[in-house]
Amino acid sequence: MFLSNSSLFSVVKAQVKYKINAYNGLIYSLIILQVLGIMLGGVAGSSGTSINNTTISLNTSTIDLSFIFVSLLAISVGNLITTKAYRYDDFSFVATRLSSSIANCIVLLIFSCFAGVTTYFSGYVMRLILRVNSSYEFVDSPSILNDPLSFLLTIIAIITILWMFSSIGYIAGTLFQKHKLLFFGAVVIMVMLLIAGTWVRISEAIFVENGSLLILAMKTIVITISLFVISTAISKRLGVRT
Amino acid sequence: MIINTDSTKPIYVQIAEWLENEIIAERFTDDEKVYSQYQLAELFNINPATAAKGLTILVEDKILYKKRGLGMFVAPEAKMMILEKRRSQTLTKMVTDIVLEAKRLSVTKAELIQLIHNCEVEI
Amino acid sequence: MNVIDCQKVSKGFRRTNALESISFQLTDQKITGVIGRNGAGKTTLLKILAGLTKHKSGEVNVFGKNPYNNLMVSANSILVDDQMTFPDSLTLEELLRSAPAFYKRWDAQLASRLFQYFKLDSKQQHSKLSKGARATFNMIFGLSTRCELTMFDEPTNGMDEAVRTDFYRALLKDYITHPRSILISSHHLAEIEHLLEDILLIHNGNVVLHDSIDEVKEFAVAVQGPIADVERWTAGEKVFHSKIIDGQRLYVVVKNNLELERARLEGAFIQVLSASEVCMYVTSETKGGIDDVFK
Repeated sequence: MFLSNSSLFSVVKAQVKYKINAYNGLIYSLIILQVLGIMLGGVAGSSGTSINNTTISLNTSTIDLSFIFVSLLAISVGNLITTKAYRYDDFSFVATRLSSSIANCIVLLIFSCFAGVTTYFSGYVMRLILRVNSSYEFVDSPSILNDPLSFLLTIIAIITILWMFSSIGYIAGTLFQKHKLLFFGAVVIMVMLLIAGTWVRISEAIFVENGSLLILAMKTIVITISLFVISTAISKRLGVRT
Repeated sequence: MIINTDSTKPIYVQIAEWLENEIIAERFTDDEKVYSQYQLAELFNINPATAAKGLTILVEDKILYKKRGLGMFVAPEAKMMILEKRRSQTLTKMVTDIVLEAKRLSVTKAELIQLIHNCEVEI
Repeated sequence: MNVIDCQKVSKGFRRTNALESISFQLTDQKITGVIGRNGAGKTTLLKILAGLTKHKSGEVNVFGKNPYNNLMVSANSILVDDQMTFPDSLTLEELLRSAPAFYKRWDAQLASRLFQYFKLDSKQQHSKLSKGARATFNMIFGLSTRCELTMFDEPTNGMDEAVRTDFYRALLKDYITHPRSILISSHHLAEIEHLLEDILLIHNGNVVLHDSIDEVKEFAVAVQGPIADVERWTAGEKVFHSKIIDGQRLYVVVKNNLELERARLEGAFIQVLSASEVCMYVTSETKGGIDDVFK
């Protein structure tokens, strides 16, 4: 009898590679959402004043909308890959629930990196489009060249937040796969926290009161990893091809 | 030959009998190497272990002999032994069946012998 | 070392017990047929062995390890069934190319040769295949992994006659050159009988028989004769099946024993059964079978 020995690392590596290959269709959804974000976000807020006979109207264009869209995508993708079809696919090859969870976590991080970077740069695409298409006077916000470090921190923050959103989708999906009641229970608790206002206080403590983006990113990473660990623990007992 | 899984005979017996027939027909002669269990498995589309069982009963009957690491070979006088065995075993069994059937049909011993005699004349 | 060692394994689904108490050992490099009626527990057993579902009680060891969530077992075993799924975003060709990263002994040459022989379309998606083509692809996948424990659950469902024959031949030829432990479940024993070394007969979540195919074949025989005589010959024996023919003759299937040779000399008509008949009678619920319905 010849038994081949596969390390967890090598299996996870193979799974990540395979999943990236298999899920790369998601990039189309990402691009569509970003384009939509740019189109709608191009006329996000406007304010105007009129002094004497001169009217000044101030239009602010941001990529916030793109970011919101991409965040929603992150949640739904996180949720999607916990569904039966995706879980069963893993087990047609070598897999354990642990390796499969770790691979999912890494794949979501990689997609978050891609989505974060492209979302950030979609802001530059928007600047370009606006410049070409309109006759307004422009006041740019600082760009990469002005402050490379803050640029880096912003991207890292975007990436970690997207990753966190995907982990929220992931844990919600895992709960749902485990038992529908668990999922609804979690939703009920969330809604109650929201009504009680606790939720707002928690998120303020985590996301608002930060000295720097780096601390925000660190906190987000800790939350994300905790969510993945909990999801992995829950998925330990999920059956395959049942 | 096609192996018949529905037959009353187990597959390994069918394999052994086929090999015996080959030896009787002198397609394998004394001290010649016969098929290995794997070749038989391929040839008849059967499990190699079943084929091995067929070879084993021939070794037990001393029709084949084993050379370690080389395979199975036809024993000297194998043909004679097979014919002898068939005579004693197969014929005895057939005769038992005939006698039983004769008893059921109330055919007397004398009538039975007469039948055999007639049959022999015809052939 | 045993490839599989099960001790009193049970598994329940809600109210029913799919596996009651399964105990058996499987030694190295045999083709074993897992035989049983619909709902006997074959599929559940194979899923537990492949680590896909968890058993409730008892002990399961595959390569000496509990298969559930075990990476080594997963890397060295595969279960091929019609519930096998693959992502739709990859073509069949891409799926086959993904496999070697997971299965160390993947035989790419065998995979591509079988793929061509069965005329599958390399640009197709797995879920778009017809039932027969999907079964064929799964079979190619399963054989090419060369896993030390390769399990097929009703592999020929949906395949046509010619493909079935080819599949069994391919399985045998590959087994001869690369011996490994193979489990095939089927409710058509006659179709796979020639391939098998052993039979594991499961009924109502228990192992009824686990023996070589020839032993199974000789496990039971049919005895026919006048009612009183048959009852006398088979007195004290376990009767698996019995029916009265023409109101005077009795046909019973009993456990084989030496006494029956005497019965034969007394005029009993003794019929050897095929392995699939033995399995059928041993696992039948009622002694009279379908005939009872028409009484």
